[in-house]
Amino acid sequence: MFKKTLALIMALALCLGCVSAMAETNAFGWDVPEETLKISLFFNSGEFSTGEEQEVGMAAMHDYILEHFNVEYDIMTTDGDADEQLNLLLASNTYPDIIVGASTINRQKFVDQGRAQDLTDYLPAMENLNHRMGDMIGLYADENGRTYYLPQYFSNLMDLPDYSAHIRYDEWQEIGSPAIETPEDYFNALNAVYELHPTTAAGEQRYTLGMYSQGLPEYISGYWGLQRGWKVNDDDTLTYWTHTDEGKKMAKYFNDWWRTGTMDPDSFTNTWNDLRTKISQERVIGMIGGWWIGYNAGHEIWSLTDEDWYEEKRFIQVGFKDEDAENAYVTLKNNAGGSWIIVTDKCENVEGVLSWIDFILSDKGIALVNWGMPNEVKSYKNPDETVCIWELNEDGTWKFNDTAKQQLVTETWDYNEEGVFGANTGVYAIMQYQGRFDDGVHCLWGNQMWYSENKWKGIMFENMDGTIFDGTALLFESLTMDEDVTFAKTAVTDAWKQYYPQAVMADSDEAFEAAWAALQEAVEDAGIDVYAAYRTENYQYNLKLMAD
Amino acid sequence: MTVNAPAQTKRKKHPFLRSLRQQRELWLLCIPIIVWVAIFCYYPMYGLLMAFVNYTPGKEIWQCDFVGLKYFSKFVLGKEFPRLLRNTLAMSGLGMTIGFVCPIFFAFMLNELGNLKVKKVVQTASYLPHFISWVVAGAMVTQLLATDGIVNDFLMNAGLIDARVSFLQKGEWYWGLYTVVNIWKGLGWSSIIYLSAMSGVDEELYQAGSIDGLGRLGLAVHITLPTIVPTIVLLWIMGVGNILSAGFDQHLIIGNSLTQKYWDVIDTYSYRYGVQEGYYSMGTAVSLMKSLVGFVLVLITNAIARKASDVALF
Repeated sequence: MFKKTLALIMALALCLGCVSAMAETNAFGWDVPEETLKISLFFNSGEFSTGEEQEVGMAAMHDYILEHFNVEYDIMTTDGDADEQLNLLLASNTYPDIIVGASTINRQKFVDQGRAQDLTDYLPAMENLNHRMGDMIGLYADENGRTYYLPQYFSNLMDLPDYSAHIRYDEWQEIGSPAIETPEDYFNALNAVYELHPTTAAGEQRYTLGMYSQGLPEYISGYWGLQRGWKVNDDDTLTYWTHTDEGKKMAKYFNDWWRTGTMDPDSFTNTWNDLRTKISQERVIGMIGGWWIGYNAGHEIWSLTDEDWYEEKRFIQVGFKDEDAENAYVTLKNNAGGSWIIVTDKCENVEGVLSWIDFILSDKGIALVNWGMPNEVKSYKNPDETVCIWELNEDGTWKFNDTAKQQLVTETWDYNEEGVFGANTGVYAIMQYQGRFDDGVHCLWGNQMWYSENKWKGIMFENMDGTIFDGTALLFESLTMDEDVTFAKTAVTDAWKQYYPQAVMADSDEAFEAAWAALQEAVEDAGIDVYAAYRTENYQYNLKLMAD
Repeated sequence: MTVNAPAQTKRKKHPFLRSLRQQRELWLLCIPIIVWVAIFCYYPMYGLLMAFVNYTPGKEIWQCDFVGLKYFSKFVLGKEFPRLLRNTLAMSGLGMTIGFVCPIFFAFMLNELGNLKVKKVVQTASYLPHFISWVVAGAMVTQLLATDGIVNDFLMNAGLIDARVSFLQKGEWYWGLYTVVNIWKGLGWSSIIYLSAMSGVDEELYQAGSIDGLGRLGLAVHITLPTIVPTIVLLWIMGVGNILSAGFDQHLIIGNSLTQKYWDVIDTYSYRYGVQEGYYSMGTAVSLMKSLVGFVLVLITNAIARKASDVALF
């Protein structure tokens, strides 16, 4: 009897122990651990700065994740150059457990020195990662089949452009809504607007075209058929844009434009903020750059500052193609990623960290770290009110908030309020799947859903159709860059930044030819042959890797 | 009979130990500084070994592959070296000539001011720019000289130009702009040392000079100037040692890609490759080379100065 009683008591105790050891699963589907999971990371994004509402949101998000997930983030950022900071962390051995967004070169340093954890054996257990990545996960293994890093971003919305040309919608209508199918059409349209409105309402000089970042020739050359600044030859070798007819044609196009005297004279010294100021002051009729610049600097500001603002007073994106170009490769998507996550040798709980990363690739995980905290959150602008972006119920069901959806679709969403949700700095995201959820609707960006209900996004997609391509093989840096290649890469960039503007700003055909020759010579002296050889080898290797 | 024991010979103390004892209070004051210099200036010098190895951040220096003079030759034989050297010598040369003379001239002018109040106001105003960081000063310059900046507005409104001038995009003007901005920022502060030297001139010399018929210019040239020559020579010697340093912050703030051909100097190159790209070996090699050249120049200039004028740094 005693023995039976004792056995019963022991069995009961065993069951109780199991129950208490079992993690509690929250509404997100995350098994809350008993011991706090520490996520200590360096967010490799330079010049990191936040507004007040973002500070409030980030602090609230930190507490929210700790309370609901028993996960504690310790985030290191830098307001300087991120790579420089990471090199210093590495040199001083003060880097944290996770590096988020390392460059390919810095990734290699960690791997070569044995400071990156071998993730291979943990990957099969990462269900969401495997589901989202599929076969692509094999791209990150080395020649021995071991994986030491993962991409910070992977996959893409293949209908969402990255870069485009812009024109004011209302002004384009005013000149008769001409078709813009070639670079010359774009030039003619902007000049037609300029003839009608050469100055702003305040009497300030307007410019037909404004640019930033030295004119982004590597991206803009896509309108002339080049792919991120490279000509892909028939034998799968690559030629840099400075040594192609297409690149010269592009430069001549902008040189002819420059010589009309109507281009923004600061086009090659503008930072994005400089150009943004001019755009919002309506001093720039058209510009070429990220598709969002027309939003950020245009109607998102005018709708708040202009009492007489109307819906058509906004920029639209336009796609065109040089007549000799096969395709306008303006947007090349790299589905395999261009910046990296490293779990360093300092991490003591690799399994825990990877389980968290896997969780944030689930639907609700993506929603949390990209949209923000669910349900009602105190408004920053009106502290007595609340705002909501998505809703999560106790039973785990969720939906995007109807009011938020309506505001995003009608483009009346207040981006200045968005910081309170805690996610728009990106620091909590660690790894980001940039494709659509399995429902085919939702994605990590709140403003990239329900295109069919958004007139203006509809115009963008229609105009930019045919300019978006999968450039993974070209852009994914799978091979190691040695010192000579990295020196050459930096030197080539320095060279074109100095000499390309000189070509565009030449004041005669002879001066243009001389400047173009000088550009080519400078790029050759910088070591373009070394860099091009690496890119060719990398491209051919990727083609083979992806075919296998 | 009493034999006197020979007097004990006094042990001669080492001069250093004697000094240590006699000036112990001064040594006590100096020791913390000496320790600070030893820790922060001399101890880190072992890092210069990075210049001779293929240093990878995260590894110890002795764990890295020895490469000898690879980075020195890579820099000196690189295609960019002639341009970097040209820019560096041009801008530091302008600084050593025009930039060096201006504070002396300004000090003379200040010294001649009779109204003490005005003198104080002018002097204070002149060295205020020294306390403005280059970030602020550079932003002021770029705002003033921007295509749509105040200077262009003024010139356009005054009818002096027909079209706006992109001052900051003209590479050929960069050296002059850099020199002018440097002088503006450092004029007052640099003149302080000359003014303090001038204030040490004996009044009786001026009186004697006046009696001998010297006017104000004569007094300045024949009395004041010879008095501050030692100061000038010493500062010149130190300046020569920095001839391969031609600014850094200014170029990153005021310069842009259109003028990079003219502002890219040894220090900015070293920063770009050595720090931003993480090639610390290259950065260290370039800086070490710069320091050695400067050191040799100081030795040579010091020797020449001692021979020519009996004034020398050491």
